Amino acid sequence: MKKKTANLYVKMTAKSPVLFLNLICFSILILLYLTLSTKVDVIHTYHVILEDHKIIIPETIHYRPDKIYLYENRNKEVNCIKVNPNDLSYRDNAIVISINQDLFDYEVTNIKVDMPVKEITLFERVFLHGGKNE
Amino acid sequence: MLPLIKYRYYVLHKIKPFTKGIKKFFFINILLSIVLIATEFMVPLLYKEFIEETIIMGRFETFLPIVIGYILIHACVIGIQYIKNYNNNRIQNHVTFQVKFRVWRNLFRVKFSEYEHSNIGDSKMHLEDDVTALSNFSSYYTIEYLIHFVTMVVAICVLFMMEWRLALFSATCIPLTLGIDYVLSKREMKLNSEQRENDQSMNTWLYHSLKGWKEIKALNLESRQKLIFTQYIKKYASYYAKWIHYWTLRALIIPKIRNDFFMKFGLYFIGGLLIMNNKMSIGNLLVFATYFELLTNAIINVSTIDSDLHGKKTYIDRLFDVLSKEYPESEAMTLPEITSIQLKDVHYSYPDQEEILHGINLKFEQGERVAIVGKSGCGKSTLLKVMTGMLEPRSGNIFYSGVDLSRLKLSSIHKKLGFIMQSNHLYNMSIRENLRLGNSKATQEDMIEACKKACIFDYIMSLPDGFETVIGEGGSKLSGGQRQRIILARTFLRDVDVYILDEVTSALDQYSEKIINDAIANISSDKIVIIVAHRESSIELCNRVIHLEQA
Amino acid sequence: MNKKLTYFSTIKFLSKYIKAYKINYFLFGIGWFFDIVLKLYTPIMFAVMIDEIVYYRNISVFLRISVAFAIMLLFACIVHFFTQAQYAYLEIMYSFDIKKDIFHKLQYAKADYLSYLETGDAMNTLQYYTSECMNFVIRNIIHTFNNFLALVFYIINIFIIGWQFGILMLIGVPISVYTTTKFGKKIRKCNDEYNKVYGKYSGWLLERLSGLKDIRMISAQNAVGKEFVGFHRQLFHRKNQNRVITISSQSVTKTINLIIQMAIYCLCAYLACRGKMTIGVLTIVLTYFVNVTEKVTFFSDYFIEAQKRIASIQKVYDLFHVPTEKEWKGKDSLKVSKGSIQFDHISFGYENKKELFHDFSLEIEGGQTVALVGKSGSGKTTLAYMLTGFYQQKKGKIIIDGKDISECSLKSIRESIGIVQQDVLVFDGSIKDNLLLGKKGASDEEIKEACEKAGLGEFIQSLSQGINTVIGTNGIGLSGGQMQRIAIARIYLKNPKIIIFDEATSALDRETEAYIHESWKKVLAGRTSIVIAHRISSVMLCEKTVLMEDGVLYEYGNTMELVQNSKTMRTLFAIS
Repeated sequence: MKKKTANLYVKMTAKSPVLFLNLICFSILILLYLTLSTKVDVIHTYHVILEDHKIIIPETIHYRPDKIYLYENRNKEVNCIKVNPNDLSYRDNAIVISINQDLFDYEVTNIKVDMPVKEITLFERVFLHGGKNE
Repeated sequence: MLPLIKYRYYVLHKIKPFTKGIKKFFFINILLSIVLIATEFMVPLLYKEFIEETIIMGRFETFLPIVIGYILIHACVIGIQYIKNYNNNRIQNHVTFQVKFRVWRNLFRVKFSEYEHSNIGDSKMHLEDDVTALSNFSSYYTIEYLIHFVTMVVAICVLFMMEWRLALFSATCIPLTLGIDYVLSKREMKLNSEQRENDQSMNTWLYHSLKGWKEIKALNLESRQKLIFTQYIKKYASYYAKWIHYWTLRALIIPKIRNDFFMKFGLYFIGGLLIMNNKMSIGNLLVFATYFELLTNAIINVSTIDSDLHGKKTYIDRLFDVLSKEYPESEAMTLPEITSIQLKDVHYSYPDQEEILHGINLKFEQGERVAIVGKSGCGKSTLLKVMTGMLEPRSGNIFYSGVDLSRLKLSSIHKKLGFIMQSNHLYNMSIRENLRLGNSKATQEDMIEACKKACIFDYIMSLPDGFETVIGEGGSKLSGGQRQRIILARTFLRDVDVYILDEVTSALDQYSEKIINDAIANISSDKIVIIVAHRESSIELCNRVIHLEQA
Repeated sequence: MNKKLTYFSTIKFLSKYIKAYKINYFLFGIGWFFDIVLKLYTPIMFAVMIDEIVYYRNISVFLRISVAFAIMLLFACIVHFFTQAQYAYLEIMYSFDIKKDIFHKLQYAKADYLSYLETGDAMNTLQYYTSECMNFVIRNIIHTFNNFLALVFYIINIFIIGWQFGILMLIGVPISVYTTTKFGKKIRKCNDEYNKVYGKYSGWLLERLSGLKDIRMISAQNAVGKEFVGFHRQLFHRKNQNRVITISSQSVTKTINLIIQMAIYCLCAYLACRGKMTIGVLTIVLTYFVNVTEKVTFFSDYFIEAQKRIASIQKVYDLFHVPTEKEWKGKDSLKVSKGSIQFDHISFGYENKKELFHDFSLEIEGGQTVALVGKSGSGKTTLAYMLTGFYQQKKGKIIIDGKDISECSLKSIRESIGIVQQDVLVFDGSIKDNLLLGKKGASDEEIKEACEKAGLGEFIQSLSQGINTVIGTNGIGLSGGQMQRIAIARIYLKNPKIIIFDEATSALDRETEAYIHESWKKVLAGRTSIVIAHRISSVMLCEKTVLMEDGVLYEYGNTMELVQNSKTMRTLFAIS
């Protein structure tokens, strides 16, 4: 290795803090940008009651989710159902969602729904909530 | 890898003669190891159950059997480890000892002339380092290797059976990282060996610089020394700067990339995509990840063990070399007593040198006390060495009690011969132990009598610990004269027929010399005594003088 | 005696060097700080990534999280790279500074320190213990601080995840670390005992191996064989013990870890059936437990290390405070023409020992050869080396050619005095290089001439490369006599007016001695020579003899007269 390039190399990597600190700041900025701009849903699980063409969730939540997940056994099938704002209605202490699909696959009572309750940034979830989903 | 497997068979075959009675332990260990491999593959399956049933489904009651499963496997593994350890101890200790003892025994059977060429460092190496390299064959190079190898193969099969797409992805990253690692470590080793040379020369230079401080000050060399020191350090600096880059890559960055990037990110990313397309469940993905980790570790272990064995190959081969030398005890005769020694036309020359003994004809009879004199270098010591079988004459015969030396067992001759030189060995043990080296059956009375005859008894009694006094390495705690007398006492204790004394008083002062001469005079008159010396006082003790000259 | 270092006084001692590189240490610390922070949050990012896949199949979110994760990894690699570059820089520059200073001190150290110096120890200190100075700052200051911060962060995060996990960790981790440390101690103790026995075995083995011939000659093979078996029995016994303890320690550690793991699983299972646990969080908890155990173990390791390290740095510290010759005050230049020496009422004693010379006086004319004789401890060596400034008298003056040498610089004094001693200084290199030490920049002709005069002419001619032949460990070996001739050749090159000949006892056999004496006679001629003699043959080379005992001048006169008349002389050399 030529002496001049070797000296320059040592200067950039070891002697002067400029490059290193710049790289650190750059990485931190990118990460912050990414995490702050990504939004993740906070999802809660509820038991539901099924009526034909209607899903009744016995909770008071003031949020308009645009999709919910319906399932019996998480390991097997999870149905993602898109919700239009029109289909949402509130009864006393419950949310009712009307859907077009037939629900007769779900005769069993032990049905659960995973519904997004709010949105947080990735930043909050990772750095402030320790990765928890709440 | 393949040649090393053959090599392993070769070594195991060679060790066979040393393995009497312990083969069964080896096979038990192999069986137990197979059980271990099985448990290793079962644990991730338990984990999968845990994840799918308990965590995702949220059913607590499934948890109890899982815990029991874990505990059972754990107990099994620990039990097996203990048994394996016990077996391994038996195998290793037995084989190591047998091999070592054979090497040790051989050390005493070589031809005497070989002692001139051999070197203590080498012998120690054969006995210690080489055997240690071999001892790993009891388990590390064989059974452990087998475990990792089998794990590796089974893991690959299982991975492909579970999800071939993912397996393909993982399969590519392994050879990649191994390849890079190999290239980097080769460069590192090259750098290391260059640096070792520089290191050595710096060490020697530093050593001389510190030891020779007087001349350095006297010659005003201090500033020059500083310059040279700086130069050495600069060389080290340039090596180090290069080396650290290889090392960082190899030991920090590549493992990080392999572990976090491939194993975690890559695997879960692709696995995630597969899950999203319903081609795989999360439980299976987790199991896959664990098996993959198993595979990676197994591969690393296999290559580590192999390269270790590769490094030790030279040691082990060297050891087998040493072991293969046979020293058959010929049907040689033993001699109960030496009554005479005769040399007939004996010629000797050292390798590549002029002849030093030209046709010597001598006879020594019982009761004679002979002095051999001559200028230094004329062959007195050589004559003694040839006479006692330490060197083989180029031509001519030597007869002990009328029997040709070549037909006699050397060890039986040496039993009856007391060869005392300037450089005899005493050991860092008590006086008693040193004395009994030659004759382990000696009683306390025998020892006292021998010491009295050697004129050292009074001195021993004057010591606070008496016979139990430890005399230091080489007898360093005693003076030259005292050492010679203890050696003389040891020879008395052995009850030999011939006393050969080679310049025993040359390095002593007059007073010590006199005592020794007194002790020599105490040798009973029915023995043969041969003295090589150049002091008048020694010669006076003898009744016959032989002059040896150059030609 | 130098003071003993503690943790804080070590920092103070090293602060001078640390200050010069404070930027680098700072960058290094920052780098590792970020590494730790990344290690903390990467698992969380990973966990979120998993959760998004497993539960809700959000591809877009999943992709963005993956990119964030990848960036964190890249960031970590960059940090590693730069941090190691800093480390290398520090190792080269910082350690170098310390090594340079110590070497400097050693070269200028005082003679009585150097004569008692254990070379091996000094070399170790210079080469290895100096890097401990850097390791101290890195591991015991920077890493300790960083790990402590990390531990705080970990605990906070775990409590955020769930207070139950926090409690579990605060109980479980200390137990785990405690058992490991306890067993660690036991294992170390066992190892030490094994090493003790092995050390004895090694010593025994070397003794026997160096006397194999002997053992056969005295038919002691069986006795020695029994010793062999005995040693191995002991060694195997200890090794087995060692292995059992190691396995037990591993088993206990594994069991404790299993218990903790099952406790974590149980807690997770409980929370899962309440709907509060995801796989991602499970992985975080598991990773954190491992990491926290690691960090706490680090602390106990650092603590043990710190003790050992401070002991090593102590050695560096001691070398730093070595007494040097910088205290010599003389500055003038010494010009020697005749070489007359005068010891004027000298009083001198070694540190902590009783006075050796008391009011000692001696006069030596220029050009004379004088032998200093006496039993060992009589002070002859000390006296001679006082001329070269190796020892400084407390009272009195040493005068050379009318000038008090304590007013002259050491450099000029030593330029006028040459020494020849038993252990000749020979560096690895050519004969020419070694002779150039006598006179910098001497020409080849001068060197060859000096060799002729020293009696090396024939020898050098017999070598194919002449004076460029390499000698030393990698070159041809020289006998004791030849080495002395090299020293003599150096004298011819340096051409000092005064020589000190320090003859050690024995080592040269009688034949070489006669030849060497011839060379001595030639080189001593025309110079003021002081011969510290142990053999009567060397004494006979000198015109005058000084007989000393216990630092007192007993007799001084013509050598021949003393040999014939002095009773002390005759007893000393056993002349009958």
